[in-house]
Amino acid sequence: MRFTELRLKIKRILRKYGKLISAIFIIWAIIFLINLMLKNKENVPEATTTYEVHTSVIDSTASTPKSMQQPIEELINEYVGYCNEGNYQKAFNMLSEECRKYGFNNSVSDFMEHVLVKMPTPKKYAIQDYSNIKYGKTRLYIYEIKYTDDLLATGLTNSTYSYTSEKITFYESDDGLQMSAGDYVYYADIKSISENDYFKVDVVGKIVNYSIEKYKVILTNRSNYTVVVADGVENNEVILSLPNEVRKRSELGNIVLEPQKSTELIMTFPKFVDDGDTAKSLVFSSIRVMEKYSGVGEDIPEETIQSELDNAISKFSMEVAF
Amino acid sequence: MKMKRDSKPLIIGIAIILILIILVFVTNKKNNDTDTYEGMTDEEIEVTVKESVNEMKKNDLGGMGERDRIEYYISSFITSIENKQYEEAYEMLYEDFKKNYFPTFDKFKEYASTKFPTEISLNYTNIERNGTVYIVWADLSNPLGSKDSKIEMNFVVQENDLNDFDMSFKVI
Repeated sequence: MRFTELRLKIKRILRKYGKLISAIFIIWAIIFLINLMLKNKENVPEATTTYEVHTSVIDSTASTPKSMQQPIEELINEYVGYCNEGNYQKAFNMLSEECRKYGFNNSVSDFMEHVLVKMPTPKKYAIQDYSNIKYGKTRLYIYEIKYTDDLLATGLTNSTYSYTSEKITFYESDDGLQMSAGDYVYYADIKSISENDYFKVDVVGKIVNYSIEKYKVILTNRSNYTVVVADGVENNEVILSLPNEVRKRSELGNIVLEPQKSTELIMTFPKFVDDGDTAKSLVFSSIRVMEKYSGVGEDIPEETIQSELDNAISKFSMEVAF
Repeated sequence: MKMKRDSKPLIIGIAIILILIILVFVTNKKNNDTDTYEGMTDEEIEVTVKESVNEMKKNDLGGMGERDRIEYYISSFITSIENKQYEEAYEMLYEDFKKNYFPTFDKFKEYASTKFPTEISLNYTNIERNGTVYIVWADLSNPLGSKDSKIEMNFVVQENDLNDFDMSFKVI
């Protein structure tokens, strides 16, 4: 009797929960079999390396979109091919219009000079996504390209391991994928002015290379006296101001303007484009309007320099904010 | 005859299970396949054995890091020279390198038999990578020879796939 009761009980349970039990069993069986199949799946060994061409060195979480990777590789291959053949005009034509203009002064011979420094003889090359940054709304993909001799063909016989390198930048525009070489990254208009009765500073724009910024500046002496902007007498005469630090001008030459004269200069400052900082202003910290100026140097006595400085008509600083 | 609407999911579930059972059976059979040499000529057996050895080497190399693999390739080259298997070592060299320095096998054999120590101790001192090419610095010496037996040498290696590589070295 007990067995009959149990049988009826099971039957009732199955009638009530049969569908649920079947569903659980089917799901379990599917999971079990998939697991078994994955275990049986043959593991194909792979030659894994740490070389990831399109992943940024600076930020390993950033990489070039898949759709751009092959076109970039093809462009670089074509570019290096032309340079190796000595076909500089064709290689030059591959560069973006602004790179040709601001990076190489629209001059094929300037470009050729650059190529011959990097690749004096035909070279092999290797590329690596170095840094991906944003300028305005445009994303820039900066690659490092290393040029070497054919290392495999020589085994470094009669030579040591060496290479030259440059940064090549890519970005997408309405005209398609644009390429810049020679460390050139982008050009920015600034058009910012600072002036007083004696002097006017006009910062026209800046050429941003990977590790330097070059400012195009027009200086105008409005006075009837000599104006000294930089001659090494004062510290930090021209500096680039960043949020937390300042950068000194790379050029060492003096900047002295005769009365009522104007001059156009390029001022260079060391700054990496991907350091996360943005330049705030250009500071001329010690502009001197001199009644008399004999210059500086070994042949000019210290006393003369100091006396002329003490008798300056005016001494002021100017900051041109961007 | 109309299928009950309630039993449709059950039938689909059972069908999936059956398909998976077949797939498990197929993958399992593939993994358990072993080489049989029945009815093969000696040459065919040799090729099959070589392929199996190569597969085993690939499996071993697949578990190594890139630096270890590159050093393994160089060690293979040096071991071949040490064992006087010059032809095997010559085969490992990059074609253009051979053209430049050892256009004939005899030239390489003569070089390898005179320039390399008879017993070779290999000590890797540095490795750099340029794209897909590895540049390795190593000291070669005869452990039984004098202290001056050390030769500083560069190896250049490009790995095309596991156990598939091109190599060259600094000719001294």
